[in-house]
Amino acid sequence: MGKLCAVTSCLLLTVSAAAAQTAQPQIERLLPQWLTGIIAVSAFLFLVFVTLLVKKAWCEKPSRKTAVESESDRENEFVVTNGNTYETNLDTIRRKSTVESARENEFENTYETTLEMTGRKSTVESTGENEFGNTYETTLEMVRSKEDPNAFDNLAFGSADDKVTSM
Amino acid sequence: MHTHTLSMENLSSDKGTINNPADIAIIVGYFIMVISVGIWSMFRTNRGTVGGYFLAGRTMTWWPVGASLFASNIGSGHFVGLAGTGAASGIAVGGFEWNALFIVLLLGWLFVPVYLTAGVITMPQYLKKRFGGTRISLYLSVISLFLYIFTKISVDMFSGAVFIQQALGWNIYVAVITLLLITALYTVTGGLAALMYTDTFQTFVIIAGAFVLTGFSFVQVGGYSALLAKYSSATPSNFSSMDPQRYNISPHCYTPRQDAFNLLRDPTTGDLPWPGVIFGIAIVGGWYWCTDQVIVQRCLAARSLTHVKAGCIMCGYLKLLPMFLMVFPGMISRILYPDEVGCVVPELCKMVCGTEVGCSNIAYPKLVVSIMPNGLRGLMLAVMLAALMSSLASIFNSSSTLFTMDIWTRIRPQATERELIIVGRVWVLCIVAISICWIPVVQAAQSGQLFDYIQSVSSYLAPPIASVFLLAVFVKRVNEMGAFWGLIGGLLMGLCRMLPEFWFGTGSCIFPSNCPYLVCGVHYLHFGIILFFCTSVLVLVVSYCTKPIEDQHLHRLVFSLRHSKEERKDLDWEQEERGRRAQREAEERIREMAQEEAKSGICHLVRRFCGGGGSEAPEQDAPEAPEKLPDISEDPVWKYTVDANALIMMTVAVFMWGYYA
Repeated sequence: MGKLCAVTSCLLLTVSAAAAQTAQPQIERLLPQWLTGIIAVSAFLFLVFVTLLVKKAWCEKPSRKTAVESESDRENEFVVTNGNTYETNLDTIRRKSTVESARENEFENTYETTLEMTGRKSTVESTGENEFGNTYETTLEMVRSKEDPNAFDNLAFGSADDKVTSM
Repeated sequence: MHTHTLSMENLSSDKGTINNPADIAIIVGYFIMVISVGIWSMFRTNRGTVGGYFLAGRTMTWWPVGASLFASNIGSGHFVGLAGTGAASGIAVGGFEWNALFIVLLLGWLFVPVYLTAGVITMPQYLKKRFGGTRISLYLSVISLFLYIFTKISVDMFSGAVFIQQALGWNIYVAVITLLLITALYTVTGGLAALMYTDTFQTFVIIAGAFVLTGFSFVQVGGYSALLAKYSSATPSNFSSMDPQRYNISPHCYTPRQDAFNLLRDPTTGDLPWPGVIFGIAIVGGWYWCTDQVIVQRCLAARSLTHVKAGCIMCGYLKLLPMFLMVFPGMISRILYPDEVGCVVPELCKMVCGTEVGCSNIAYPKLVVSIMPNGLRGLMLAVMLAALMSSLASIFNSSSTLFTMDIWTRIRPQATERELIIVGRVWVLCIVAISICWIPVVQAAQSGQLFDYIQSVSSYLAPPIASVFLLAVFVKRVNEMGAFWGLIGGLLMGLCRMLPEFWFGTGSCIFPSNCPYLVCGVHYLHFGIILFFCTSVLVLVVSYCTKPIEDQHLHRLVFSLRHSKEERKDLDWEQEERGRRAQREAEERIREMAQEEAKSGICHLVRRFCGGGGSEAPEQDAPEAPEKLPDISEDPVWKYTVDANALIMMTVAVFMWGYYA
């Protein structure tokens, strides 16, 4: 009787094991997983390589950008023919301009201007051709020569005007 | 027949398990740490200015940025949702996380440079400068606030509630209200700086705790190969219908999927088809990571562009983890507890977890309660709290930024900085109240459906926004008419799908919904792709038929002109000027009044606590200047380092995708 019980329980066990195994197996993969990973990586690196080549070839063409598209250095010492350098510093929200006065032929002109773009051009001219002592605390600078040296005669301060020119 | 096999005794002994000294000590210790980090960061930054409060003074280094991106993103919704969906249908849900690896790089390399040089604080502000007019920014503010409440807040609160109920047996209202109040406390006082530093701490907690749980669960199941072998046979023992008149249960409703270990599944029959996983999730991800206030605000708080990029890379690496820390344990939970997590008979499911649809959402909490020893259970609760609080705090802060800078300044353009900061704080309290009122809605919604609703809502409403932002940044020709009509057209198209689907309900395996094939036949991810392209076409067509925006209005607002140094004539200049003038006058008046007031000691203390510096500052205007002007130039050495790191990260991501595809 005991043996019969043992045999039937063994039989039941094997039947249930067989039944459990009919639970569906996972999708069979053609390639081992690490291989698909490596293939994907190689394809990706190849694409990156091709992109770099294309970018290099494309940028080799005359990259005549307009003068001030590239990132400029912080300190710029410019000598422009008619001695006018404009800097525009852009603040984001506030519009203030505090421009210190400068006299003619002054060497050390330090400007701390924070201007916001308001649709009007604010120009700050520095005097003195061939001068090196101009240090501007600016984060964005631009060089554009606009006006003729009437600056020597203009002294306009304050924030309410269109153009703020000082010497 | 087999109703007793549910072992109700197990269930009642599981509840209320966090009542021993080790667990309680860890939880209390966690809260003390979080609050002290919050207080410490209060003294580090000046919270008295708008820039200091909402943008942490733009002084953050890369590691708080990266950690905050991760912690803001990972909420309790991820723990419950990823584990639950992983238990129900396998690893494809991890595609949501691994897709973000690439999108976060798009954020750092393409979008943030433009946002930084534009000098904006909020995304609607960017659109206002880019297109002019006010209707687009108003639409975006409103829909962002709507999406926050309906998708992010509700998901995280629901998941937190599930966890608390399963693991602690606390009263849901008490638990959630306490959590929200603690979160609101350090959000309101500390601003973004406090959030980002606490997020860094929360990230450690989340990752450490989740690793511990993953280790325990793998040990319990017998290793990774055992997981692979046993998952396909994790069927519940009760699968015959208790009421054959009403319904029948077909085998595919309770048998684990055959493609459970594939990330990329069949495009027509899969539950997450591979075109949807690759492109659809990328589009929704584009909205979430590149155009949404919560995420972008953290990048704008960084001290330089290199730090932003490094932070994005760090976030990317961290995003590799959720698959292993949440999806796999979810699947292990189903293997270990098939009758609870994998239950299929509606009456039994209702007894297990309270809803008839299914109990896969209890996968993660069940693991925490069952296999973690004393003390570590407290750690896991701390992890869930960390995830919940960090996400909620970020959403609170960003929604208050949106409301303050975009909606309030329209109502009251003469608001001073101090008023704006106060309004920001009051709004956080309002939104906490809204969240508390949302709890009964969350409980009423049949839980198994909530994640489907959330993902669907995102797929139906986000693609137009992603498309408009993408085109705004890269295509100069796009103008205000095109963007506005594209947004409206996209919204209508999304609503055409979303409303009928809500009306008919998404149904379940046993009771499928009777939504007509025309409306609901297309998978929601595919629909997102279609919506994205339709919106883009609409935007471009309308833009090309109307007047373009001249370049002088676009310097530093589009990708091609991001380095331009020329002056920009702002399209919203007049409005800003009026606002500034009104603000100046208001400040003058306040200054005159303040000089006459007598300051009592308590008033002064309260003012210091809240960080208000308004009345003492004659340099009211100066706070703008000392903020570093957003400069997107990069040191070449660091630029190459960061680019190389990004490439390495992308390679790792591609390998993982290929391995699990």
